[in-house]
Amino acid sequence: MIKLESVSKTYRHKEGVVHALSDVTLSIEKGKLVTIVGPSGCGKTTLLLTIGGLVHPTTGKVSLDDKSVYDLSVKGRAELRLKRVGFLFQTFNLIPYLTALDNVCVPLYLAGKVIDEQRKRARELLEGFGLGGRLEHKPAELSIGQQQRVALARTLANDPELVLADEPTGNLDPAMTGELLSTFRKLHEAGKTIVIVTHNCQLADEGDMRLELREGRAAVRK
Amino acid sequence: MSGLNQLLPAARVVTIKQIVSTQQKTNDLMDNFALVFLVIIVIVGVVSIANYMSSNVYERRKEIGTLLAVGATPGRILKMFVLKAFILGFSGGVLGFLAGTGLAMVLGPRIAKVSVDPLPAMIPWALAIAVGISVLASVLPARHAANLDPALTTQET
Ligand SMILES: Nc1ncnc2c1ncn2[C@@H]1O[C@H](COP(=O)(O)OP(=O)(O)OP(=O)(O)O)[C@@H](O)[C@H]1O
Ligand SMILES: [Mg+2]
Repeated sequence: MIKLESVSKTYRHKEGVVHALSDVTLSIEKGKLVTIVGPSGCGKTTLLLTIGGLVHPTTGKVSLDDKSVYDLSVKGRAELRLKRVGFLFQTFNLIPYLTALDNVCVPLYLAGKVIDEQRKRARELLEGFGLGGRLEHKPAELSIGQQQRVALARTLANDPELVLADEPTGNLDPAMTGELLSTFRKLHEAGKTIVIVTHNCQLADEGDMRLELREGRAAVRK
Repeated sequence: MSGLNQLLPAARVVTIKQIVSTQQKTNDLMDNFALVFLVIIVIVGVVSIANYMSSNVYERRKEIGTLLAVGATPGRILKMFVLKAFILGFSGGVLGFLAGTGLAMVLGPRIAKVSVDPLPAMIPWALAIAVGISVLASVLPARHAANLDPALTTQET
């Protein structure tokens, strides 16, 4: 279970301070699919990063299964991101000089899996996403939709219990969006907790819970 | 001595001792030169490798951020760059030793009229110094890489 208690995040910038999140309190039960919507700049990405152990809140507490995420050591938090949280970035962030297969191997390698095991798991995931014929392609040699599926395979490599996705349908056509939707449904059915930031109405309605953010404040709808 | 020189005005008489001491002075001078060159080379080496490593870390900051974001520990990133420095230093040492020995063997007889033989005993020294310089120069850039913000990867395009 994810719990946020009065979480605020203030970015300091030369142009002044930005209150990206203001006093956000919420809890997300295990196995739920939650969508986050709101206008651009309202703090959606910041909220997702805060939940995923990537952005230290200015004040407040984030806990995963009753363990305070930001009281962990830097190393402990890295371990958490490696094993329990999968993050699907808005811009995918694949390593440009690695092949699709090797990109998916990265978290497996970091988790200490032997090379054969890494490759087997990575191949399975990529083939499952219809990329069996693109294993040796570099990101630049793949279409946007294919890059995203490689990124999703990397996200799922260590079988995380929590999947965080930042605007996953932003660059996809309706057919691809439909496919991604069914992937998230499957993950949901498999019992994963999923939090998705989205502008897509269809996807936004998909969830068990919809969170609306406005200028850093959150309200639960539905 | 001076008597001998007067008796033999067409010749110059020197003792073995004088020859040895002159040779010794030349050798000392060459040793000092070599030491000065070594110090200069070490400094140039440290500065240029540190410079290379820093710009390498800067160019790759986004990928480093990605690795940290997907769960690499800072220690892992540190090790990655130190290993890179080790490999760089080691291969540099081997190449440098081969190139230096080859060049000395070719140029020695031509320029200084002395024959140069390879000094295999120097290989461990060459490698130790090269690896040492490379790793030393990379410590700060590697630590910088390890301490990058994992959220960095999401912020720049
Ligand atoms: N690293 C940063 N430094 C300073 N300000 C930041 C930083 N990251 C985000 N912000 C600011 O915080 C606010 C929230 O940003 P965030 O990226 O969370 O918005 P968002 O809801 O994801 O927007 P979008 O829908 O456009 O992706 C914005 O006003 C942004 O300018
Ligand atoms: Mg965003």
